[in-house]
Amino acid sequence: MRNDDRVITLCVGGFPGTNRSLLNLEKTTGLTRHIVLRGSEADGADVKFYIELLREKKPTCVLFGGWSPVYDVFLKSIRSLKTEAGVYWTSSPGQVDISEEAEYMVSLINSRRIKHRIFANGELAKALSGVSHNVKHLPDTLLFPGDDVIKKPKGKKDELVFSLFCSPFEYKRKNVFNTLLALSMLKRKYTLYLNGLSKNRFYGNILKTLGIRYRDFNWMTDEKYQTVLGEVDLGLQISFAETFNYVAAEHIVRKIPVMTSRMVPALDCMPAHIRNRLVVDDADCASEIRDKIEYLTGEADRLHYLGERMHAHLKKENERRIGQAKKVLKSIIE
Amino acid sequence: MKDDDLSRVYAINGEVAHREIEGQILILRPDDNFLYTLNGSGRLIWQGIVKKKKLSAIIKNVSKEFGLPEATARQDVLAFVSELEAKGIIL
Repeated sequence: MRNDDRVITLCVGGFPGTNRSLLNLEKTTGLTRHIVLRGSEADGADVKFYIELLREKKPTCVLFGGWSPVYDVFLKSIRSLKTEAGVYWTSSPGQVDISEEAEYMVSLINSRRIKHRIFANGELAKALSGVSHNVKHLPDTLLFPGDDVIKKPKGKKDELVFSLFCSPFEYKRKNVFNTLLALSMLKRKYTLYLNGLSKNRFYGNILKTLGIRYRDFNWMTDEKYQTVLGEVDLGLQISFAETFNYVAAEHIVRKIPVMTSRMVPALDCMPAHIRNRLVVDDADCASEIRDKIEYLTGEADRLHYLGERMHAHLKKENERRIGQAKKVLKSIIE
Repeated sequence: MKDDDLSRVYAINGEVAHREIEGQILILRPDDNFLYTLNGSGRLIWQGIVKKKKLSAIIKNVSKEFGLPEATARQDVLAFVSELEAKGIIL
């Protein structure tokens, strides 16, 4: 931690999406310093380490990622400092069963110890600004890889690679079953890349019953994930709810087009002619998903063209988001 | 590393935060987002570096504390400090 780190973001390791978001924030804005808390024990060695460090460095603000009971120890420890506390909330109301999180959210909104209430979801921020003060929207930002890691066009392929990547607890939200039904109706050859779905007893049986041709890489290291992603021709993220959808964005930053539902904000910035091709109107309609995949894969250059255009639009949108994030962070620092 | 280099004294990178807590050495590099933890011989070597001891003294100490032949201790210590140096933790 450097002495000029005025905003420290801190998140327990169990929230991968929030950690990814906060790591990107550090790299894209240069205004925060992110630390990952591996343990969640209040008396753990890493908690003691970071508390001592915060006391020494006295940052302007500590922004907690999501909410974990272990953060209470930090709140108590920074009370005597001039350090402010904030919380960065990444879930959207429809993304998880909010009843599980509602208690935390209510206590955070009412807590006098939490000064900054920051939400990745713009609508949530807008709605809650009426009932609480210092509510801000902090958009997700992305890191764009260099050209050396971006997917190169491979010409016409007989067998395309589709991806359907998601965490084990997201199968319903990611609309996995409809996506598999759509694939089972496809006429063209493909391989579906997965990151663990087939290990699930029920989905393993569904994959087999529907005759889906797949390769399951299980849960991947980041390095492996980047390699596998480089082989994908079309991402499938036809989710029922998302705050942003990093997985979709991770495809697009590598010029890989992604088919989504209307609920995926990562594609909000795309112009109508791109959205019409890639965004499914009814995520609960397997035949619409199938029709869109067949259209997208019907001509050799279509996916490549869309990947290039999506990349350009997301890059422009990302610059806007970084600007907005910097503004929010500067309002905390200054 | 040559035998002459055993007189070398390493310094901890000033930008690295480190603490000894509950018998473990915890280290945070300026560009990392998580802690390194050192236990056992790693802890002993680290304590030697903090006390600005020569490598030869650190090797002797590791050999004595862990009942290792000096040649083995030397190999372990040199491999360990090389790793710390490569990560920019010590200079």
